[in-house]
Amino acid sequence: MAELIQKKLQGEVEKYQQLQKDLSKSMSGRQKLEAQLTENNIVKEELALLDGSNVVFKLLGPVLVKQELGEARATVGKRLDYITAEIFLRTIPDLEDVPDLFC
Amino acid sequence: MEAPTVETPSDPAPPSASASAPAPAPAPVPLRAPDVARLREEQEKVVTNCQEKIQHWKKVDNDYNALRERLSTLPDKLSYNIMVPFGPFAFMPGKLVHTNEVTVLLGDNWFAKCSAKQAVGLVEHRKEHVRKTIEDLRKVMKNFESRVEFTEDLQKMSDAAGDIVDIREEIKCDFEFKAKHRIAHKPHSKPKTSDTFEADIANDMKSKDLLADKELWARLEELERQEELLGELDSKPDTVIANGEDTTSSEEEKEDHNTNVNVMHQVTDSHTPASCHTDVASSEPFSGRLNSQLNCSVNGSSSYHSDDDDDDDDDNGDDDDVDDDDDGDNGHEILGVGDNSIPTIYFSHTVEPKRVRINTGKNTTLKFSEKKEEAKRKRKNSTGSGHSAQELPTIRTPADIYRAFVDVVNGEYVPRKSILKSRSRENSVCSDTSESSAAEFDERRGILRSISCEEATCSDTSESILEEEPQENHQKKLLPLSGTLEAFSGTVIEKEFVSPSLTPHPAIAHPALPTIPERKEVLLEASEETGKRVSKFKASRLQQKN
Repeated sequence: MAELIQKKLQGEVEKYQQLQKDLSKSMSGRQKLEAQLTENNIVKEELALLDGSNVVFKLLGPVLVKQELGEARATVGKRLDYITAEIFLRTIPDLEDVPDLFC
Repeated sequence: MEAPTVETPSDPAPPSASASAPAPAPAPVPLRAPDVARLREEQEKVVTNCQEKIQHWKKVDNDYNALRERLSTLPDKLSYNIMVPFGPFAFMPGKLVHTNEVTVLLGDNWFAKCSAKQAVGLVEHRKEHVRKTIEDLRKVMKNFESRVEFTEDLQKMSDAAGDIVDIREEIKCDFEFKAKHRIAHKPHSKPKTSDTFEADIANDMKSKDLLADKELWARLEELERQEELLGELDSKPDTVIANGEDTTSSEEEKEDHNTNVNVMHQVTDSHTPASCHTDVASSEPFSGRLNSQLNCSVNGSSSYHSDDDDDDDDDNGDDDDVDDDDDGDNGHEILGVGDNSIPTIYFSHTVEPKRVRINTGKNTTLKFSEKKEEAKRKRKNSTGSGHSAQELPTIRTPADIYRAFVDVVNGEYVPRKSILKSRSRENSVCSDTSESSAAEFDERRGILRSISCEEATCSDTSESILEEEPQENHQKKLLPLSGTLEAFSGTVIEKEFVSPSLTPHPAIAHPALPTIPERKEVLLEASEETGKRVSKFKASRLQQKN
């Protein structure tokens, strides 16, 4: 009887730990995404401050590749949307799972 | 089956989670010292974390400032002779050319070639962002600092004696209460000893700051209580309203105030002076909704307003109510910890709120607003001062009281059906709805004040609870002008007091306006330099004899 209970307890503990790990993983992922989001927001605002006379480059590996201002703005905007979508997708199911599994 | 207690190290979640854990939960979880200690640690961790981050961001800000300086001076020359770093250890003489062209990293692997001035603009933009971040961090830090403080208190409490906490309240004599509600006093009932608090300093930790904090807590509690109680008092007569007047003792009432037990209301409550005599003598301020520094030991019975104003047994405090309030108010010091135990919480009352919600008895709940009261009073005084000056009948019997409550209808005097109920909102103390009511009420109060004479009503005006509004001066002046010593009008508060000459009137305050005279009585008694505590009724009787 006591053993049964102990086994159950063990199982529960493991489940809980697993959940905790998952939670922390998604937390860190979320933090990364948040950081990228803020950074891209700043880039977007600063690109808005520039005008056509500035040359814009993108760093691809060791190479600075020339880009057009309009193109750069569009790219950054798209990236922003992508990041927001990622956050949305990744965060919501995780948050919902944890409390459910806990009961 | 027990749930396993696994502790997770993740940072942001536990502080808040653990912070909420020891909070007063519906299921009483005993406060364990190690838990509290751990909570405190976590909170301190957050605080230090915030501090570090703030340091970091401040450095960043300084760097940006330096950068801006550099950018502004850079285009001064076409080229600079510099030592160019070659790897980590070597330098080479070289020239810095194209001094106006700056390639700026915008973030996320994006670069832009800008002029120096454009670069400065970008730097400014970034600094703005940094500033915002620092602000947010500061806010978080402040928040957690206060939490840490609270947890410290909690810890002390739990350290001292496990689950029980002693709540002690320093009570000095001669303090003033603004009673919001009266407690029906049972005749000749003794105040409960539990109502009396000892001034005691158990822990060396109890510093003045702590007291100040506690005062704030006490005040918050009292305010909350008032709100609750007001909500509960749905079927109160106007006597409560009158009582509520007293509670208008301003929020600014300071601890220095001469707080006197509001014995007056007992007088007003009781129909016979004699009955309320004994307890009035003790005239203790009641705790609970009173927000003045408790100077005397709390004798809840004496001057506690209750819902039972209608009762004739108003003489003695209803200890139950007082206890509840006391416990509630006093126990507010620490959350969720019972009274009567070893760790000591130092509690002191603070100023009452200005606003009082009182039921006028006609399914209306008016908010008592002191400002409106003042406005009313001013208006009343400006318009009907002559009138009020005339009507100062002497009251020797209860019937006189009723005579005082006479409505003037069409030039004729029509006795009011019930002196307990306001005829309309006009005469209510609460000034919620109509401006005219305020004016009328002031007038009526002026009359009643003169009527309700306590032994020391004369100096009541001076005794009134201190309010910082300048309107009070009006009130002060008007009252003495009336020629008779008037009962205190609840909203006027002064610290200095006029010479406490006794009024010739018998000391029977009108029950409809309990609070006003009562408080004055209390104030007067406290203010009396003799320091002798004489109950209102006794004093009035003495006067009568004289």
